[in-house]
Amino acid sequence: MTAPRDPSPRRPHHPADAERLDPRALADSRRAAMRRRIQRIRRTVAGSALAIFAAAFLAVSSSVGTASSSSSSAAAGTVPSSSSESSRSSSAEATGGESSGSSGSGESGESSSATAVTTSQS
Amino acid sequence: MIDQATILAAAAGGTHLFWITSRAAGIAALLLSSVSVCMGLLMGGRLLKRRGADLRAAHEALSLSALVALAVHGLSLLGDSYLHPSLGEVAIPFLGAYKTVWTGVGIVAFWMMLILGLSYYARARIGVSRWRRLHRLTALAWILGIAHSLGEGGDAGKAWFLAMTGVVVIPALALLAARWLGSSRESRSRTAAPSAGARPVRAVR
Repeated sequence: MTAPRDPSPRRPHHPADAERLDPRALADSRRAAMRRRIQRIRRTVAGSALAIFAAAFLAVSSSVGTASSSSSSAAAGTVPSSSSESSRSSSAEATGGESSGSSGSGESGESSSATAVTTSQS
Repeated sequence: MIDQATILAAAAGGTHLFWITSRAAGIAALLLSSVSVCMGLLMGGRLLKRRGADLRAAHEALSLSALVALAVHGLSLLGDSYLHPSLGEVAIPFLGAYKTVWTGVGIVAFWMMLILGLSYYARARIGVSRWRRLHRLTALAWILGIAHSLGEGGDAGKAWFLAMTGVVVIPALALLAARWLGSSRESRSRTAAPSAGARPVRAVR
């Protein structure tokens, strides 16, 4: 029932055996392996960079969204159309940022942003 | 958690897309450059003796990713309707009206990182030892970048940002301090060695 044994046991065949004999082939295979490894590292780093960017994007947008919701609840009914812009300026100011004040688009939200800053700071 | 964030991103994305993109790219650049500085210091200080080629590849890929993130960080501001900066204000230091000093520091850091980083590909022309001396200035550019992010960054006061920055910046700063201390000791021992070696010769004469 057992498998017939080989009367002359040989060393197990290894794919590198042939290459061991040829130093040029060995060097080529090592170089190719290194190239593959470097490609893998580059892909991993690029993927990680994209993942970090995506995570940061979500974190920042959630913080902007939180500021937006707090400012819109603070200024509810007063300036509904510019709630997002006021949240932007309020989030910048609440974190130590300063409003440029040069842009005309943000001026309508200035009054509500002041309310939002005091609300978020308190 | 992710769903909520996605919804918030979608909600905020309409008006703040460029602003959020710029901030996210800045955070990514800070993380990537800090890890890259760590790897460079590990390589240069020969603290990791094995896998030198792997470390070099990772260092290069991280540096290029950080440069791309920095480019996105600056260029995405061009689309922002609130700040509405010009290309000159984004590219030339101390020109913009918004937080002039900190923005200028960030722009200087970016140009330093870009020039010093890409000089790697011209090191044969520059000369390897001269390039190595130049490359040390990258640490200064990185420190300027940290100062920019803490001084200007919209998220600088937030706990999650400080914790995340600390996790990557503190080890790199420790490695940098170890390198500076080591190199100053080395230079002191080098200046001491020739005088010690010269004494017997003088005694013979």
